[in-house]
Amino acid sequence: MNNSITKNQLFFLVIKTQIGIGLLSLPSDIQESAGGDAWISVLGSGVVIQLLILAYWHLCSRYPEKNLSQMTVLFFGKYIGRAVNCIYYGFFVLIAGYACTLYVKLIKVWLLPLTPSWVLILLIIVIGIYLAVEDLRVIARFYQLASVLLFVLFAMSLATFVNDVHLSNVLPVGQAGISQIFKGSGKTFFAMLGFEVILFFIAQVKASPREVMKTLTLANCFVTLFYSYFVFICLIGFSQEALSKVKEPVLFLLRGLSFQLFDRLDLIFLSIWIIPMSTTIVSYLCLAGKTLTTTRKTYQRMVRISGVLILMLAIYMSTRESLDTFSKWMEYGYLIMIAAVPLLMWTMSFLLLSYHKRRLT
Amino acid sequence: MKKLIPAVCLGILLLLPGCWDAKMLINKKLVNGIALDTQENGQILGTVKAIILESKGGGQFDVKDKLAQSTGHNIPEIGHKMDSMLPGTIEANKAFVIIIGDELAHQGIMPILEFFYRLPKAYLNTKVLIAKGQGSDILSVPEVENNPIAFDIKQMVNSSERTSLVPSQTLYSLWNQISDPSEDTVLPIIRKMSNGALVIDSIGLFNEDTFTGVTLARNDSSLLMLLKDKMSSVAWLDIPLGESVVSFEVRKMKRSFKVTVNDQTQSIESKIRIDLYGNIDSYTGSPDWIIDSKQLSKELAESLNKQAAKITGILLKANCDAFGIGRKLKVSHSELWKTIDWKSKYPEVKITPEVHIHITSTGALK
Repeated sequence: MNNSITKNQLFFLVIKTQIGIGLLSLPSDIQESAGGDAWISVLGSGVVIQLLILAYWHLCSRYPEKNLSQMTVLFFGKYIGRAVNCIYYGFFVLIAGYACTLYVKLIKVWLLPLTPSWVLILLIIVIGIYLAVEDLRVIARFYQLASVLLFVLFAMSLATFVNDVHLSNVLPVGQAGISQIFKGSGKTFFAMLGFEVILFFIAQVKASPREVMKTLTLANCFVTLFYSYFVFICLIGFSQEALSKVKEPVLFLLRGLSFQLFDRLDLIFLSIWIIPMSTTIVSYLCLAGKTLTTTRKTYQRMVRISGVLILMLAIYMSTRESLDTFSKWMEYGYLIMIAAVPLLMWTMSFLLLSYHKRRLT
Repeated sequence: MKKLIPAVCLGILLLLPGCWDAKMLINKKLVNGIALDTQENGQILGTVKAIILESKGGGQFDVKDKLAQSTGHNIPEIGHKMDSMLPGTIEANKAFVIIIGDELAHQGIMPILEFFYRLPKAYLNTKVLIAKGQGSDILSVPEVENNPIAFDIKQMVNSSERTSLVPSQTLYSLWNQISDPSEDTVLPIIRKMSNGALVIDSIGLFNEDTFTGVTLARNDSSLLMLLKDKMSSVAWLDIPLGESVVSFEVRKMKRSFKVTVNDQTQSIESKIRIDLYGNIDSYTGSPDWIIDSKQLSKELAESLNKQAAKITGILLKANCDAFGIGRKLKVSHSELWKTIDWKSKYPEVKITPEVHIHITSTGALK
């Protein structure tokens, strides 16, 4: 089966999964703890992710052409391994459903206040499934194409320098103190989730491990810098008090702009941002399919079933008043799944490698 | 199956979105100017100018203003009441100007404006003005040649901004300035002259979000803008010199702004030096009209220095940190900044303005 992807495509798969709805509200979330040093928190979080990626990569390069769900079976045995995969599946569906809910809530606030949630969720998921049932290569190509929009968004953000900006808001650097910056890093980490897709996609990359690592590092640097750039422009564009009150500062920042031809840049920005938000959901749909199935046919069926599950979950969640307790619970659970479990497997791999090698050959 | 899914998607896409959120322009009552004032009973009196489009046939429209007034505790309440008075749904999200009466501004403006920040639909490039007297009087000035009055006011603000007479302020920039404790804001003032015409030629000083009641008239306001390094394309200064008035047009400027703290006494000192480059528009001080650049620039600088010292005195008295000395202090002396209450410390700051004039051209005459 020829469904390998190039290292460039891996790059876009990772960045498009990571960049999503989290960024829009990130600056005010971290500013709460890290204050004017919030942008350092993002960089710190990037370093932590880089370490995790290093472990992932090392693990994956020891078991070439095996993705996470195949590895769990190898490590924990048939039954426990499958159970672990089922948990992974559950989390991927939950994350996709949660992202979908946030996404729809955002669109309802800013763009379509009167449209019922289920219509929006249905539209997103149907289109998501349509892309996710295809080969990884097709998905990657779409991501590659859609990445052009990131540059459009970046160009748009440059316009915010027309507003009053005060570099003094972030000065003196380091005013918040190390512990507060770390606290901010923790919050950023959850907004930057999505890098775990590499555990599944590395297996299909046609490149030497060295090149893969280079690509992954590049992707992580790109996302970290992209995020810290947006946090930074929010910090210098808002006063501290205003920033702490705004829900989506990245959008709000564009509200003050007006040009001869364009007005309400925030709405244009959000309309484009819909695509990075959707690609996140597509990635999780794809992961959900990959955790439990191996053949193409079952994969497609699994994606469709997951889509329906996500749809129901998202419709249920969008009727809930508050998702705070749920999101907290889910974030920590997910942290165990993407950090603790792979790290455990990685340490186990030192002990078991020779045994596995014998068995695999 | 492969063909069915896109077909269904396309069908849904074409049919569903917009069904709920479609809004017809003809059903809207577009508000383009809002005036807010105090009332005796503690409520707010809101006055709006709404646009009415009257079709003349042939795709041409007559634009007409309609005035409406109601009272309430906050803007949405006023809006809801007004909605019942006017045909169509009221839409405040394209208002050009918001005019706040000076009495209301004196009580603090942020709680009144909160609504616009909270509403995702609201337009934040609205100009905010303070009215001398009642805001409703300003907005109810009869329109000139069918031009809606709010458009006129907006254009007046724009032209005053172009000549650096008033700061360029919108709802958006205002919030960031007011919520920042290390800086205070200034807003343009609109007033009605005795002949009924409107004029924007002064600025009002703010202490946090309350209007202090202190205003700076034309010349002072231009000079303050220059001291703040907020020159737009040009600034006009009419400087009295002896019997005559010299008109100096500033084209370029440089500013150096320093804040120092005395280690022993903890007293804060600020030095602002501006170098103004420009040309003389009019000079009739000497009988032959000939300008001695060196001599004249010295005399002008002297006069402007006096004026600048007067302005900084007024700022300190009004407790309006328009220069953002607090912001400088926060960066350079962050330890001190954390321990002091800036609002009580600011009036004790010593500000030394210094103006230098460089005449680059005297026009077509010598």
